Amino acid sequence: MEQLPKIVTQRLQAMAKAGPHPDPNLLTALVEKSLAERERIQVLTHLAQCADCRDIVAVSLPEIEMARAAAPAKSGWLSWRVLRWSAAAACVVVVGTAVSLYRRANPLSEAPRKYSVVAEKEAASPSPQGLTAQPPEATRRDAGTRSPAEDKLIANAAPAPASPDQQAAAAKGDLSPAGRALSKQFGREGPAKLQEAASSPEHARADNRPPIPAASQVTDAVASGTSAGELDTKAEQRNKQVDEFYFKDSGQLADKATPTLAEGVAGKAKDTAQRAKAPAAGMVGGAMVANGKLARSEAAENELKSSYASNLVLPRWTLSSDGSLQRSLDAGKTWQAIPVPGNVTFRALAAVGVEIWVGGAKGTLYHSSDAGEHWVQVKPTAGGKPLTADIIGVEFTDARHGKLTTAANETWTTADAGQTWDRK
Amino acid sequence: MNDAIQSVAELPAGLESCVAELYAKSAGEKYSVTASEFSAILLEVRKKYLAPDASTDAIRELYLSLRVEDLALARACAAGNERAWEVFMARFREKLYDVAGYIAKESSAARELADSLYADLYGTTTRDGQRVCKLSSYTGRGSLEGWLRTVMAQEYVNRYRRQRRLVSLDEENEEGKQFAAPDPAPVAAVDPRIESATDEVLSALSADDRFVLAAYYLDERTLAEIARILGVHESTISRKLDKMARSLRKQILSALGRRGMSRRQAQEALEVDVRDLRVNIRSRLAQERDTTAFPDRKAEARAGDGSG
Repeated sequence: MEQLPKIVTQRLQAMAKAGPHPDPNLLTALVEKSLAERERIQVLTHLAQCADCRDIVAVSLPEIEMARAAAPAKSGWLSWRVLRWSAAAACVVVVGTAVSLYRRANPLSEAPRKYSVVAEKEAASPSPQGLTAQPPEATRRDAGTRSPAEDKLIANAAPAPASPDQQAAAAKGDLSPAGRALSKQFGREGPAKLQEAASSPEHARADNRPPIPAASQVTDAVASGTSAGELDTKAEQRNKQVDEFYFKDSGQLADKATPTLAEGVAGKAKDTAQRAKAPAAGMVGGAMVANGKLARSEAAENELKSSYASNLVLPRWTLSSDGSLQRSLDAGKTWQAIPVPGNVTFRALAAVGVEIWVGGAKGTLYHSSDAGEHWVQVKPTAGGKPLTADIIGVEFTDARHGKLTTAANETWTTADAGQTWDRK
Repeated sequence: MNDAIQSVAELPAGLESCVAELYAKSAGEKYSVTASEFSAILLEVRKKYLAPDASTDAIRELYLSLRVEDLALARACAAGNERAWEVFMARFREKLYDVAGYIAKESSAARELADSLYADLYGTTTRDGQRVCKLSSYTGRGSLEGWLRTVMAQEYVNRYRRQRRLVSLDEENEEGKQFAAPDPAPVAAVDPRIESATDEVLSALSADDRFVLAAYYLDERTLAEIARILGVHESTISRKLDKMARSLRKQILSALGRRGMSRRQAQEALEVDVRDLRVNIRSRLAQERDTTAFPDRKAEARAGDGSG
């Protein structure tokens, strides 16, 4: 932190004392954010001038939040270690997305629902052990229907961690433990294992369906590093094809994530120097497909899309001093307020990809599965009793597993994205 | 009861239903708090926080922000209702000892702290011959639990911190750290224009900003602590501090300019007082000397050789 001129601290100290001390009721209400704005300013004005009252307020802070406040500071989403892995995770999600898009596009394949479940599992499975086992397992399970193109895509995605710096720069975002576990697997085992899985004899035998030509061209091209011009055309071809398939198959699901992905693929092919960025865009698409929440407003989608495409930065979230939710699409340079219904003063926030959870006074909890465009109020109940205490902490490790801490020292956990809750 | 009758009479139109709803919500009936008693409590709270001519909307807003359940419980305890005390003890007894342990960090002090709070809560202290129960000063502005914490923190600060602060004030003065002494004597004579310029800039800051500055630079609170007090994310505080540290110097310089100082004079005047900066410069100078010391010595040795 920058140094202040000494005179500033001296004058801060010497500021005239402002009237009588606020009573404990007001100090409590300040920390619990239940003061009217005018009173809040009065109390803060006094606190700025009164070391004793500042001391009292600091000492009175609840213990439970100590750990909570310390934890996010360490595992903040700006940590480079995390960012590097998030890029690797993005590659994994690209694979998941490609699989689910391909299936949706192919009328012979199974119902799309199933793929989104598979993708969701890959993206959001809670157990790291289960996860580390997952990529090969998924490959095996899908061997019967998987085209060589996809297998190559997997193989292509794997070497990406080789340029972690680029990826880290491209994929700024919070990484769920699931993603971390996955990427660890990728990082440690290296591409060799996946390539092995892709080219195993079992696969070759099982694969008796012709692949989508464009898809294989693009992936082949990326793999072999063909000249940029050629790639361009192929990428565009693929782009068109995806669009066509996509809208034919799921007309009412107006999800622009598909073009985003396609653009990502195209960009990847066009400019190998920017290879790392494609997975980041892919991750956005993958996360959206995986969440199965595809209906989104066009304008918001475009805004998000352009932000992802130009900056390739995932949105960042914060709560303002007056308890309203804010989002930044430019890595924290500017913040815009995101309206949440109910006009509640929020005190806790959790963001996992596009899944946002905000909690506040009297057990109010809102959830958005689409980066804040649509909100649903979640009313946690356990044993028939609703959650009524103030929510002071929200933690989500992935889309499904989360924990609330309340002012009444309770801990509420969910393992199914807020459908059911356990109280401790 | 006189209060109660008066309160009903004073209740502005349109608030009756609000008060009735709050009474139902408070569950005061359980602890034999009657509707009129409850209404009297609300009036007392209102008188404490609002001007007599406050609008109906302001009153309603205040009332709706109150923790009426906690308020009814606390006031019923203060009135000596046994059922209320049972509930209170069930909810807070253990918690209070936990909180005391957390605040005091040391078991005997924690015990003492919790016991003294209980004494206050039970009303063993008397004022003007009347038993005074501390719970009757709870007004429901925050949660009862939060209030108990704050009251305990207040007691702790009054008892221990202040004492320690007085004892160590001399030491801290030597280190260049000053706590709120009644008149912090300036270390060197400071140009009054610098003081007034700084005061002007500081007073233009928002209360939030001044609080953050004081908590961070004077109390050396962590970003996390300040963020929790203001109920915002740490990054917000961090950004705020960065921004202020950058802008304050500029603003003071321009305020000095308005007071007739040249840019250079102003910069110098500000620089002179930056003790921390001076320390930094000194330590940097020391480092530089270290690196040059070796060649110097060599040169001296050579000179020595030459002479010898």
